[in-house]
Amino acid sequence: MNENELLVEVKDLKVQFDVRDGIVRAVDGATFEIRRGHTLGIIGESGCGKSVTAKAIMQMVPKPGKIVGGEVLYHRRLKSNGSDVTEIINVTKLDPDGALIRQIRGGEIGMIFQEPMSSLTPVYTAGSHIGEAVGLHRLIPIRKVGTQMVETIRAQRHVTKEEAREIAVDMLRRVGMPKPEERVDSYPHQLSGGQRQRVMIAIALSCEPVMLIADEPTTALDVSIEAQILDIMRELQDTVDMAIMFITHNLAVIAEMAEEICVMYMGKIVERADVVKVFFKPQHPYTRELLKSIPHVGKKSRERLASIKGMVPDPFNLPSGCVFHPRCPDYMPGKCDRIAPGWTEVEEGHWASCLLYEDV
Amino acid sequence: MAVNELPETTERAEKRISQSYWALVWWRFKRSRAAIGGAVIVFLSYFMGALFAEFFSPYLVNQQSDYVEARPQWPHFVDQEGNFHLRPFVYGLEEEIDLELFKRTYAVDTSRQYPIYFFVRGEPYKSLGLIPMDIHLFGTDPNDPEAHVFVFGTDGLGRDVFSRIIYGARLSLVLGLVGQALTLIFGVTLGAISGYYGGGVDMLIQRATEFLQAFPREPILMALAAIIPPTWNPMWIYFGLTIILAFVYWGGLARQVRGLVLSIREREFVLAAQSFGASGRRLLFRHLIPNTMSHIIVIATTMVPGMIQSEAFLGFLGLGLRPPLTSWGVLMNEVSNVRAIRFHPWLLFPVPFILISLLGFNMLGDGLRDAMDPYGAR
Repeated sequence: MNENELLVEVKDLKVQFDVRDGIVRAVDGATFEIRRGHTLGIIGESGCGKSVTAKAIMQMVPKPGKIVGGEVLYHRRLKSNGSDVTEIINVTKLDPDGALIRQIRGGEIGMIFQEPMSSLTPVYTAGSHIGEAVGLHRLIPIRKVGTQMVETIRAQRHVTKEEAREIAVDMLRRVGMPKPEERVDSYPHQLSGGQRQRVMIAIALSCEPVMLIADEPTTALDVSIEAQILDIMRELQDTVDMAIMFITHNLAVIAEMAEEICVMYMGKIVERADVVKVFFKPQHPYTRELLKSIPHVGKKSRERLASIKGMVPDPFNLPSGCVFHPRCPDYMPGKCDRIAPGWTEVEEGHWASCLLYEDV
Repeated sequence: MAVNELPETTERAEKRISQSYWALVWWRFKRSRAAIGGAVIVFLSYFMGALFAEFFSPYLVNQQSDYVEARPQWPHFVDQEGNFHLRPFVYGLEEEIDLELFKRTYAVDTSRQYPIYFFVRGEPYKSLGLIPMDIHLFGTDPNDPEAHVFVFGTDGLGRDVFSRIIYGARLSLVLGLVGQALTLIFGVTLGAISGYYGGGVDMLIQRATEFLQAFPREPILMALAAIIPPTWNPMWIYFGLTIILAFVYWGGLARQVRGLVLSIREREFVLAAQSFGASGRRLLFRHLIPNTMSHIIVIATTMVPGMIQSEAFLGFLGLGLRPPLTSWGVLMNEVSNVRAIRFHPWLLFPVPFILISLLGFNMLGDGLRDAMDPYGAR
């Protein structure tokens, strides 16, 4: 198996929200790819289009949003007949409520959300949530032995209720839920925030997806629980070999989790590199400013904590040229406000979208 | 000793923590006396009227006697001489002709006493339509053909009013339930679809409910009830009326369900369920509607009395069910003239029964609403 095999390619993805006051370009030409078994981190301020990108991969952009351009290519490996046949599906062209995308959602790409408090349906127990996902996706091979020659016919069936419950208990145990046999019958309101997020992870992982989209999974949790949840995710990633797309605005978390990082600003990806390069040699001014704004523990200083000057621009009328230019410390008048930057490979595997690295 | 007790108490505490939603609802519900009272009234009404009317009534519904428009015979324990009887009895009735009004009236004949027996053999019937029985809760001595007991008097055809009230409850109360069930099916489905899909479907359904609600309720009920051809067989008329009631009542429910679905569909668990691969229909019927269920049950309970009342109202005007069916509406129609009120006011006895059962439903509905409100302060 090729280690760097592509799993999801996002090419020039554009998502727009057509609202009363105008058009919001929530994602404006995002391009990146996710490899099997790897972790991609996406960071950026609130409202920069991180979550919308994730939802676009699942073809779940909420109304009135629309994917207006670009494509999301999902390299689907067909497990059925031993050989590694990969089929490329353009997710953006699928019917949002069609059978194929529903098979991919949950079955092949799992997702966990920011708000564990409200992500579980209040009227169902933890077990029935996991059971629902399992019932929709997990198939068990049936073996039939023919009479004349010993022949095994591979057929698949859905799991039964008892099997689903066993899987649920097993999944809860794997995500470190205390007393899984009892907790499987608990309703969401009887679980704590951390426990609920464990249930969410258990649901997402119960169908053995090839990729997990974690949309700020620890934002609503306190720090000690956050560490536990991150540990669980990493452990599970090692055992089941899945890719993770980790979305957060927490730089510390992403430094710990991700192998490659995309930095997003106002719907655009401004910098892309592996984690070490982004943290130690940031190229885009936005990334540098972002990194400066992390408080350092133990470093006493009279200085105020740095923050990026200015305000996030109004999404209805974005600045001309580079969208970051009004806040940029390296603003080059006459250039940055006129020309929209393209992609430059500053050094190998380190891409930035900034006119500093372009000859204009 | 103390060591042994400890695990038990923690176990009990755990049990209380992991109470299900319905256990909590029951726990809150039973703290309200009015709600329990309402539940008892509703249960008794259905038990006595809808299920076992034949047993609880001394006579059959259309069983005629020689006593026409006879006054009620109250049960007594003490006779004229002041002797106490453990077994209650009623006095006989003496027929008189009022020469001034040219009308037959009845006077109490204290010389005849008919003791009331419990669990007596009377007219044969089929309990629940299946089991042949002839036991009635109370009645007179089956070996005395002269004996009779008309607790609430008789009507113009010599039928026992008490028996007819109990029988009438069957059609009226079941109509409330069946009509409500139909309303729920229409209202919840259309309301949920309207709220979830939005757009053109929403527009269409909402304008339809507004169209229906623009009419005052009573006139539209009367107009629709008048459509039912009187030549239909009574069962068809019954179902026709049920459908009409459901048709008029579904709009309000649909709007409430739409509102609930609109607020719930923005919650994150809907998105989460979608991300696990649930289809639109699955989201609607497995995730959205179950979350509106507690509200729907409350709304439904508070709407049943309206249906029963509408039936009685239409019956009173002669537009609802008609004889030979016996419902509370039909009984009300029989007192819809001054003569009845002037000369045999006992025909009004259905009124308190209707009121009590409506009150019971309202008390039950209020209790359920308080119990199921998750934001209740208690």
